[in-house]
Amino acid sequence: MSQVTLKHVYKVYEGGVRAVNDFDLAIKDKEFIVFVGPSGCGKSTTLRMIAGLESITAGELYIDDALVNDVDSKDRDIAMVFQNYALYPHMTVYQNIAFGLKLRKEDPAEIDRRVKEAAEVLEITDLLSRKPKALSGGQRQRVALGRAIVREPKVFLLDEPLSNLDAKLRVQMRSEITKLHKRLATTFIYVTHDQTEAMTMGDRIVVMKLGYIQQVDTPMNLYENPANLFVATFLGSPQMNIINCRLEKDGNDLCAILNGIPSLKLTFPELKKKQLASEVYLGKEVDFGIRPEHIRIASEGLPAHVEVVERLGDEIIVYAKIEGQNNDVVIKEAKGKTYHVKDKIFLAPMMEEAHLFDKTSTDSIMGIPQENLSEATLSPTKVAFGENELLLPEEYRLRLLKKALPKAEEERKILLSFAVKDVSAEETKGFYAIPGLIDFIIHRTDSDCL
Amino acid sequence: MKNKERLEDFSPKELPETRWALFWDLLFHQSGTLISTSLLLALFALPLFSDYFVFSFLGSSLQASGGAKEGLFSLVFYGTAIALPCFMVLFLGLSGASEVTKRLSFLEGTLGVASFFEGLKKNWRSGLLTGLLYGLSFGLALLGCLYLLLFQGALPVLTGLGIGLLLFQFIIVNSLCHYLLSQEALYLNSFGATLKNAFIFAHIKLPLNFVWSLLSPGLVIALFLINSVTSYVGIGLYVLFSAYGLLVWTLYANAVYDRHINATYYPELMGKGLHKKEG
Repeated sequence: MSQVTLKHVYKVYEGGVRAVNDFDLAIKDKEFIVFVGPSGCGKSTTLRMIAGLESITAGELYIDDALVNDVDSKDRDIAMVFQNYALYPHMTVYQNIAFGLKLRKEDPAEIDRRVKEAAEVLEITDLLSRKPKALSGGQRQRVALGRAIVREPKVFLLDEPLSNLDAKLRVQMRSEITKLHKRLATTFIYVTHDQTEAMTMGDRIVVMKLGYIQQVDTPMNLYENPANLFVATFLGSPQMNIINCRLEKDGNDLCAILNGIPSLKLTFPELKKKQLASEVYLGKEVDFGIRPEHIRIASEGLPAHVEVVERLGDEIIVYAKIEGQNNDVVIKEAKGKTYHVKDKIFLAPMMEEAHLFDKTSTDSIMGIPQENLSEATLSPTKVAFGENELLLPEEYRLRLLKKALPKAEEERKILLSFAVKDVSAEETKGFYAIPGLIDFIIHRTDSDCL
Repeated sequence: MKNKERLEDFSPKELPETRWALFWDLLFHQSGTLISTSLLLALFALPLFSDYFVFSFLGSSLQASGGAKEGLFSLVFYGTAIALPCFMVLFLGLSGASEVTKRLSFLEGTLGVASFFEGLKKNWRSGLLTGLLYGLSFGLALLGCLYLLLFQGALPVLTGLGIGLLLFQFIIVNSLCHYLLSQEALYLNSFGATLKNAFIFAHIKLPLNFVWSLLSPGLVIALFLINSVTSYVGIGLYVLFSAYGLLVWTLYANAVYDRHINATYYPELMGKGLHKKEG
């Protein structure tokens, strides 16, 4: 068992700089979780807090069931691998790997067994007598991994371990780390700014920005159902096309009018229409998002001109401009077709794969929601929505701000939110039962349907 | 770490292919371990050095006062008798150092001091026995040579023959002891079987054993015997480089074992530490 639980963890540096805000996450035993985000998003700080290299300003950190906020780094039973390897140049590979165990005064025979075992796993047995200067970057990183492995920790923390390697080696080491995780069957927490690493290695990915968690999900669900504009544009290469649009109803259909130009009208399919979070967006400007691989170049559609063509071998990236507009649109096509600069083409977005984002909050307003939102009425003891009335538990009422709780006999209109993860389709003891009918079902790529 | 990175992976092909190449490789890459092992060995040699200096001083005083040959012989006899446990202590250290040189010769990597004491813990019994055997052989050679030189000077042929025989037995026992130590660090045979193997190797590999014996410990012993100034040079050499001598013996012994033991009984140990050419 090696679960890591972070409960409302904050890191605030002197001077008030907030590096991590309300980080709330439960990492399962044997899970490979990846923290990803741009520089300064707080991913390494979070990792260092788990490692015990940074103090936690507020919140609780549990490893298994033990609160470890004030436990020394060496006593947390974790091992960390750094970007710069942190190997001792005067020691051989063997001595580098064995160093931690030697400090713990382990029996030399046991140290020897573990070092040789780790060396075999990492295929560095031939390097044991060499010093780091004789090794390539990839081999040095394997030594750093070896040093972590021999400690047999509950949790592995890897802080951008592949960033110093060249592209070819990164790909190779990526798969080696994944294999290592499977072989060791231990919890891995991996920090990277490289979305490809995150997508290919993680069981789940935590996308972060400015110290806040943006979304936590499996790689495919993140890709297909981004919670907001940041996640949508951060994952995927080339990134998602974002075009301003106005939502309109055309009879029974839901349409996106790109840049407010009536001739650039795109109609959503029925299932997609049902996924629109609220009808309040009708007639309003929102961001329309579509991934490059979800735009086909067809005989009819949005007229555009080719600006640049990139041939990548197995696929072609076409950069085009919609006629009369300034929007750059990127299209990913399989190889086989030939395009030239200034060619006139027609773009046919696959509307079942389209996304919409709120202009202000940048949250996704079409797709699998993170939260169920409903208008409701709050009274001092209960909350009512539709035909349902939920009694407010005493401890919940105590947590409400005084000004939020209406006075006796008063009612207040509120927006009620249930996180999707907190709602179960099965009857569960101790939960409120809200009757409902299944409207439609969306199948997620790599988990249960919603 | 600011070391400049290699672009290419270190390939096992870069590992040495012969024992000589391995010796030079270790000389360049493991000098720290070898010198620290030598220093540790020097600690275990302290009783022997003390014995030597005390009895040299007494011998000089005796000669200065015009003492009889019998007196000198008896002094050396007592000195050699006291040296016997000192040799056992020295060989305790050598049993630890053998573990280090074994690991180095297999390119396995060592923990330095920890590996030394791990070897000592593992092989201390055979170390003591080997030390006893070595001490007896050394004593026999020293006292025998001294006796012939002091009391049989009138019979030069007999004296020369006797000294030759005494030195020969010492070279055989010296080789045997090195084979004993290296086998103890490597195989799990009984002491009797190890002794038998060592005895055979000490004889069948006599020419090269002789060469290595001249190097270790021949050179240091010669420096001790010449005069007191060279004895300091001998001590200096021993303190800093004794592990190098042991390494030479270990590497040579490994080559012998590959041919006579490993090829048949332990193929997994064949050429261990060397890069094996394909095909």
